[in-house]
Amino acid sequence: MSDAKFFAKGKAAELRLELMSDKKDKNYTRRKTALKKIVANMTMNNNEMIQLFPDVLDCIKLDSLEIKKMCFLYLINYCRLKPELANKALPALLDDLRDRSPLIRALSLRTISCIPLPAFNEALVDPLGRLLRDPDPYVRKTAAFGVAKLWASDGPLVEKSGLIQGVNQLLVDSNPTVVSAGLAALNDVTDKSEGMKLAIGYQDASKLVQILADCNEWSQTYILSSLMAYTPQDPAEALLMAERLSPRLQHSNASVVLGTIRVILYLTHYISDDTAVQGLVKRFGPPLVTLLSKPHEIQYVALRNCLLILQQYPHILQNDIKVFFCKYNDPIYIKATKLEIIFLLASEDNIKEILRELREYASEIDVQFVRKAVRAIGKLAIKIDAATRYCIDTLLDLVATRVSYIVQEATVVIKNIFRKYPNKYESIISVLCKNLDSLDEPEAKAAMIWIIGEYADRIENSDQLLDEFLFTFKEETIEVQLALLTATVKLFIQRPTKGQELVLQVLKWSTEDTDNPDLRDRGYMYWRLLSSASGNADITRQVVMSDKPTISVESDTLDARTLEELSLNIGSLSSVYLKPVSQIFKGSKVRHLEQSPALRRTDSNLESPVSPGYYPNYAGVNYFATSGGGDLLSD
Amino acid sequence: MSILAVYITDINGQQLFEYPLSDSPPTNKMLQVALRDASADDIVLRVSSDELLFHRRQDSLDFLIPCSSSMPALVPLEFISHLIKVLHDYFQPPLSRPKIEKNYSTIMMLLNEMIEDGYPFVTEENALRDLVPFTDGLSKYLPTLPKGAASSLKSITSSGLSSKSFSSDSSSMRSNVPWRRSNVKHNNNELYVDIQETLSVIIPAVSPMRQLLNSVNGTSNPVPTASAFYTPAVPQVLAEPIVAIAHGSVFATTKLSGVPDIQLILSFGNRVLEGPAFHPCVRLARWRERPGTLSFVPPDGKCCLLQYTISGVESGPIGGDLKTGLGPMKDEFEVRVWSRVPRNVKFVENLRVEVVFDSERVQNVKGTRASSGEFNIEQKGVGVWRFPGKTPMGWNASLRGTMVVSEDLEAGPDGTVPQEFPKYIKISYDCQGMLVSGTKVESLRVVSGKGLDDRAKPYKGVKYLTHGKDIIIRG
Repeated sequence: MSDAKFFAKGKAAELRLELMSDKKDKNYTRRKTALKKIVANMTMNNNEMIQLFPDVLDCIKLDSLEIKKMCFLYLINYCRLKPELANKALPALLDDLRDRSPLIRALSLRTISCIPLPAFNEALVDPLGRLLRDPDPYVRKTAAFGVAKLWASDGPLVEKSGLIQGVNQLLVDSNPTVVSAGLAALNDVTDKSEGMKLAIGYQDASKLVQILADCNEWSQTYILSSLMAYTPQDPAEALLMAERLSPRLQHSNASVVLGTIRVILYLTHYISDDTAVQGLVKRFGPPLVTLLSKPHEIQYVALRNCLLILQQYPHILQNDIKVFFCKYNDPIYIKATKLEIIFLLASEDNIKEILRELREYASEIDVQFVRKAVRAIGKLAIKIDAATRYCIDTLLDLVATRVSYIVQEATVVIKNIFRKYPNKYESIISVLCKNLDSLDEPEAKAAMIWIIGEYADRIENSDQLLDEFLFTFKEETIEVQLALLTATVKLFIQRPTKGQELVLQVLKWSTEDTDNPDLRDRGYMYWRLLSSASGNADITRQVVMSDKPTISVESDTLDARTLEELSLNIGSLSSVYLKPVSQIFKGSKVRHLEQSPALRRTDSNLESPVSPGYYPNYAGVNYFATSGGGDLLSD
Repeated sequence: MSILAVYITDINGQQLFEYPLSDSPPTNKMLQVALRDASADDIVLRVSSDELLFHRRQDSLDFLIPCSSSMPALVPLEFISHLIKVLHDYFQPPLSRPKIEKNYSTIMMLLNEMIEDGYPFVTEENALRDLVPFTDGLSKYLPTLPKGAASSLKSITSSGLSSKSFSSDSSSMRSNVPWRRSNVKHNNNELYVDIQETLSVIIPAVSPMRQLLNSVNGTSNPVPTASAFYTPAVPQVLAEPIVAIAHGSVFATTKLSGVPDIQLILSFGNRVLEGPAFHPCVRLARWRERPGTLSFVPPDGKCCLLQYTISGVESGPIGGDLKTGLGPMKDEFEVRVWSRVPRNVKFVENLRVEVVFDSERVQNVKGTRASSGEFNIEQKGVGVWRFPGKTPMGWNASLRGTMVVSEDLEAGPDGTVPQEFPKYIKISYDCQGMLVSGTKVESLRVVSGKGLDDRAKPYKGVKYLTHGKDIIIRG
């Protein structure tokens, strides 16, 4: 029997005939078929079906569950469109609320509560109170959800009805599924409500944890979300709770696993014993690794959350770094996140292995990924002092491939290495100078120009090199123009005779031939500096060639406060984007840690937010300033 | 925190099925716009300021689930997995447009049970089969059921309005085994265990130095094409895998009457199980007391009891390597695969070797000579070398060829365009009868079975399957 042939148009009249009662239609086979056709047409938005409202209504009373279900589906779909007709269906539905079969009671209850019409809402209040105490758990749980739906449709009606108290009663129900349904309903109501807030005491929380194992996976995720409303008052209490929750980390449903991680991370803020906290967090590692065998979408969310957890507890996956090695056939979003995790897990002990791996990625087919890999190598040089030499060797090896985008990417990161370790690795400048021709991206150009300016006195032909870049000055982007201006001034300061002509030319261009106020301002500033301090070159040198602020990769990691907020949102979209909820959704509720005697005093909840790293714009480009979020290795 | 609607579309975005859960959910049209504008790494899309879209492609259908913004990301993603599993269970994989169109009312009824108040609620196939009639598929299930049971099942699911069948229905909620269908009856009591391991391996490139040494030693002469079959062993200087991970799944298929309580003891050798994840029916306390012991009352039918990860396993029954710069012009590559000397298996199946190259730089592969199997360029940048049917153990094969470099490539600094070679080799296969981690079933017994005949010997056997999924050899 196929619904596919049910889609002929102009069928309403025909279907009406088929729905008519007929003694020969013994098991209602014909009417069932007709209803299937109606539902199928309804799904395809064939609004002709609405004409059959009275006929379908007649079928509700038939002694067949399947027919009843289809009628109910029909009502849910069309009652909202036809309120005047809908009211005619109400008596039959209310009748079913008293059926001796709990399944029918639940079905009709669900149907009425899915139809948010005033008449339906009002008619439901009284029976709901009764059904919340129904002897059958299936009905009680349906009633709990019914209250939540009723609340969404008419809040004041529910508030004056006392139904919320009825739902509260379900929290001590003997059936775990009913308890979780009650909790879900309350959660739903408080989520949407301005005034109400869910708060759970230790006794209740403890009971919830106890029934957790007996609930189905989705109820578990509900309960886990609700546990965030419990504020531990005592460190021992929090620790005990976390210990009891940790078996949930072994659930096969990934949302249960991440939900558990979220609650345990939350509880650690209230546990004073550091060793205990470390012990708890260590348990996150294996389940997170197991999530990597799930579909890509789930893997991705798991990896993004790994990234977040690792920023706080980098040691938990220290020995598992290989599971994050990329396969060439991983989707790019998985590869990019794995790369960030590898970067976070890198240490002196595993750096050689990691560099071999990154070197491999740099020869992949996907250009976007290759760039990220090269950038990661450069950042590792800055992150791990002892590894800088290896990183530079790897980069030079890559520059030798002479693949344009690799050379450019390497140039950018080598510039940063020079800044981090002045006067240490400049011997490699000559290698870079051999590849000037392949630079065509502004960022790489600006980086190379910065290097030439900064080391103008060591590069034999620095004036010629700059001159070549200056040839296209007017066509360059503003970041390259600014870099050229500064580099030329540096050249002049270090080698006045060689730079004199160039600097005059550039200052003239920058002040007279440009529409860009930044370039003009900087031009004038240098001009004034050079002319007024002409008697005292030392001062000019001090200003232009001053010590630069140290750069580190720390500026890329999230500040403590953001990290704290994100960790309360493990598994949510904000943990995927690594951005606070408020930055993603305007006006959404921000989670924060509730005060309690047990709350650990950390930097984040005492001090004001840490200001993001700020680096003056020396070469006109600021490669390392990232705002407090986003990809660690973004380009 | 709610699901706003469920859409199923074909891969062109044409809507096949719609199940709205809120007053005005985003329409499929809006979702398609969001999908079109999305970049590859947008797993979660923002449809509006407070609406998200989660999506997955399966069996050439797209499942789209718009949600409100507070929804934890994994809930809809896991829900899609469950929904697909349930639809597979009802309508058999793979799903297709006709299957969806044929079963609108059943899918509607399923979703009506699976989602309650905009949140996933019941997703276990067993519980759903009690709640939603199985009209089309029912006949498929009947042969496994005795006559009496068939009619009683029918009375529950389709027309039974008797209070008896309903109380048994909803009593499943009251029982301690919410995942088990009530009143299960089977004539032939059967119990099977399947353990599958999916193997992922990354083997690094052999450095040119080692390749050279290898050929000096005379061990890597090209395998002569005609006599390639059954040359016993392939002496190799092989690179050690960087990564060799087995993801395992232990399935139980139980067709047992009543409420059977089962104990399955597994041995993992000396391996360390990383992050085992259990079906809710498995008693965790028993596992903790004695790791390897699965004690459970199973759902009826097939279920996944345990998933685990073991890293540092062997690289599996099939090996391979890639050599480049061969031949008089030094422009040839050679891929070799071989099956290792037999363990307790006789063959592998569906062996397939993908040769991946940079399609931007390579326009064709010429002069390919395969000692066996068939090699074809099947998609952009991927040549597939297939070995249909069974491949015996202690066997090998080789493939040689030359990549034709695109004409429009710029010459390098030395004035020549560098020769291109394959970037990766990916081997995949199925191997029955063994698990790469060495995991074994030690014992399986029905500890107690309320409603099960004492004399029944239901345990019919265990199947092991190693699925070599991504055996990647880097070039």
